[in-house]
Amino acid sequence: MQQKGRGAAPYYQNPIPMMNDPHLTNLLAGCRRGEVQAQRALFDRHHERLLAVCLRYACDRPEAEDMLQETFLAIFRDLHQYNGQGAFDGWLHRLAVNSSLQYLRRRNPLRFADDVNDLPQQIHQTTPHASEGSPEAVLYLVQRLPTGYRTVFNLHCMEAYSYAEIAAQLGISESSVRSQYARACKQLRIWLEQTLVHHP
Amino acid sequence: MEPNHTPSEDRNKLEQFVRDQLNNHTPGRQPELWQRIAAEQQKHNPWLRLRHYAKTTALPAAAAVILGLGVWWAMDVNTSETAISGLANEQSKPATVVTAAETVTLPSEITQTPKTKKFDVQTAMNRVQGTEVRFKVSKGITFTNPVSGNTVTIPGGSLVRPDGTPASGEATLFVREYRGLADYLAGAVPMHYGDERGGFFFNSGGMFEVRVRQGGEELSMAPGEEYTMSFKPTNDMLEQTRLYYFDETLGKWVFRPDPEMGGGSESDGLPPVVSEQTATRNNRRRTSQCTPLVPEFKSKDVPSEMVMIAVATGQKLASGKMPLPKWFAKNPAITSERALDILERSDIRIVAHRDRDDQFFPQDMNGLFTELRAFKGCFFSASADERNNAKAAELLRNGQGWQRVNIVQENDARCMIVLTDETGFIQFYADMYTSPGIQNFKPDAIFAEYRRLRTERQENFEARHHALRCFNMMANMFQTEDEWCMEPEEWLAYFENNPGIMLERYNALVQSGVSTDETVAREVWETWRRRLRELNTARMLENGGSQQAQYILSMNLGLSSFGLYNCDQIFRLGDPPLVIAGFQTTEGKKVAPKTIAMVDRANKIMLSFNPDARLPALTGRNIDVVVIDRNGKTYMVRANNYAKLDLKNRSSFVFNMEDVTETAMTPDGWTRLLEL
Repeated sequence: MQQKGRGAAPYYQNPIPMMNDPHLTNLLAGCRRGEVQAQRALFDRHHERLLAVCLRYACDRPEAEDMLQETFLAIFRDLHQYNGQGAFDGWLHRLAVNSSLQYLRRRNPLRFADDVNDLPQQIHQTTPHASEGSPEAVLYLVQRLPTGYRTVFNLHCMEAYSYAEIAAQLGISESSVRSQYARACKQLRIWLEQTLVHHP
Repeated sequence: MEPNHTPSEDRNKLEQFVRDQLNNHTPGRQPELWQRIAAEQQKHNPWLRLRHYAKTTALPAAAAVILGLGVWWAMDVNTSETAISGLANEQSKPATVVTAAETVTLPSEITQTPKTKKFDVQTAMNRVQGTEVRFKVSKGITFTNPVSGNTVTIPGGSLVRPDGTPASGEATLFVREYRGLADYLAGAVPMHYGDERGGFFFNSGGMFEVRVRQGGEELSMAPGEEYTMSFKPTNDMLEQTRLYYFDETLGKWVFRPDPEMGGGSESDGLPPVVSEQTATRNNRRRTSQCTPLVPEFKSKDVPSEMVMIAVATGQKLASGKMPLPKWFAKNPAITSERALDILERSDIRIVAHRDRDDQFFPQDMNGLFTELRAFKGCFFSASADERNNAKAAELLRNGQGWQRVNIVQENDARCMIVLTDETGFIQFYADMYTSPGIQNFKPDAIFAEYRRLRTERQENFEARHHALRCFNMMANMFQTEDEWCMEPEEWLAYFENNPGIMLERYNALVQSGVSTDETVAREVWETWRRRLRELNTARMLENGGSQQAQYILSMNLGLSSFGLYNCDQIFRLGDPPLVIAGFQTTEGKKVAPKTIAMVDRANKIMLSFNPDARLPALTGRNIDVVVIDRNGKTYMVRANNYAKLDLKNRSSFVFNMEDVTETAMTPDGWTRLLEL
């Protein structure tokens, strides 16, 4: 899928020439040879950012950790396909998104028709993190969205995919994507108004 | 009213806000997640290596063969067969030579080792952190663990690769130590040993794991070479300690006699076995037999009466009818006066009368000073002098809490009130008033009732303390010899942790009349006094009660193979009945165990079992049962629940397990979970 420009480019779209980083080059070579130390070093270097991606697609932390595990297994498996031309961070990010989507498809088939019934009507003030306008609070609200809403919202708002691209990726109609996205935004706005003091 | 922005603008702002927030979210580093990934990835790494080396080695080799074939076509057919044969011989020679060298020179433990490991200590759910240090193989390394002080020394040039060729360049030394129950549980390593005599449990003085890796391969010591491990055991009181090595290919521990640890002198070549009682006693840092001390009586003490009270109290405590106070469990030698001084502290607030500002009542918020109920419907008013005393007035007004109150009648309704806190006390004269409507206000009767209630409360406390004192002083005569080795505080904890055993013990004593028949009690006391004298005399003649540690310094172990070692004594469990154990979650889902452990926290004993083993039925004992399933999930039956189970005369039992995976991820988690 092509990515459309929507606002400032995420960190992973900044092209960092991998070849300029000899340490990373050695690390990737070690990972390709199946060396555990190199794999561990790569994990140490990138797991925090990739976990942040997985947390957005997951409904809670354990699910995000499962997604992260699948992401790293996919990284080590497909690392030979990375040719060093593009930004390595971007490659990792795309792999994390794809692994998370695969995980959701397998574990929790994406549903769209009934999702609206799953929505809690109110997020209580006592829910963790939800009483302040912090990244944790917003993440918490995004995670409360039904899986289908959350996926569409992440792909469009965070990954900057077009409706058509998301429709193709998820195998649903473009109008369905559009309406899911609108509902996700609406629901998030309601929850934000209920819980956050400072919001747009 | 018309909004001043469109819905689309609204959504853009929302998107921007959420995007900013989520891009700023940092979940924090989670290094412990690597264990899960590594365990899974380990299955795929051989394929990665094959793919990589096939590209870098096999393809050029294939190209060389094709080139050779081309040359062959260009040459005379008659000479080609010789050329091919020669090429083939040249290519096979180095491999043959290396293989021969392996067979001839490598130690048997390397050549005979199957390639598959039955139990991989390194990745199999092991959550104990190790340390990695890079070093040059040619120079060797001496690494000292900054926490334990244990030192590994690998001589320079002493390492070989798996194929037997000398290693060179840089390698990584990996050292991991296991120094207590929390580490053994988090390591998920089997902690039992077996030989031709049967199965035994380890009572560990610590384990260490040493490995050297280079480029994904594990290096070994060259034939004839040794590295040294200077290891200080975690418990230098363990008797009959020996060294054991975990054979990962067999998935079990093997005895490794080492003269440094007293090994090698066994006539049958098998390690010595101690009893569970010895292991427990050693864990309490005692080696030789213990002798109870003669009780220190006060002048008014009557031993036979004290025996009766002790037995009755013991039964009440064991049956839960009377709680064991924490202040006594922590300090059994405390006197009644001292205990009262410490405990007679509450939260006294000066509560003003609803209508009269000058009247108040000292309200005990905790209800400790029960005698205050004698003043029901009464209020006090400080005398005019006290009210004019600015400091006293302020102290009474500011609502601060006081720890104690004492009210002493002076004359009729006039009294002195003493309020005390940790910094000092104030006392002032006051007059007692009654609420309107209460007839027959008799100050003398009220103060008399107050004094009676106060005395009654203090006497009740003293009686309770006396009962506990008798129970503690006379406990030795009903204890096992192993319990004699415990300090009074330790034994009280043991008493609380083993209610089943204790109730059985004290019920038997009550039934035999020790708590009710003074003649029986006196006979019991006299018998005990004679035995006590004999025991002390015998012990004095034996060795004067001296206790010597077997070793107090680090041991310098010379080792030729890397892996996991254990400095342990082994013990047998006696002969408890066994049950076939099944495990299920609280939701009724079956749990398939990979490892099973039973932990006696108080005695620092851990029993580990194979998944298919029958478990000992330790009815009435406080034992935590821990099961780790094949997916690495950890389940537990807590000790207080296990102690309540009736496992007597059961051939099988299904344990309901609590999922504690989240907490039990690390040694620290286990420490918190088991309150180690």
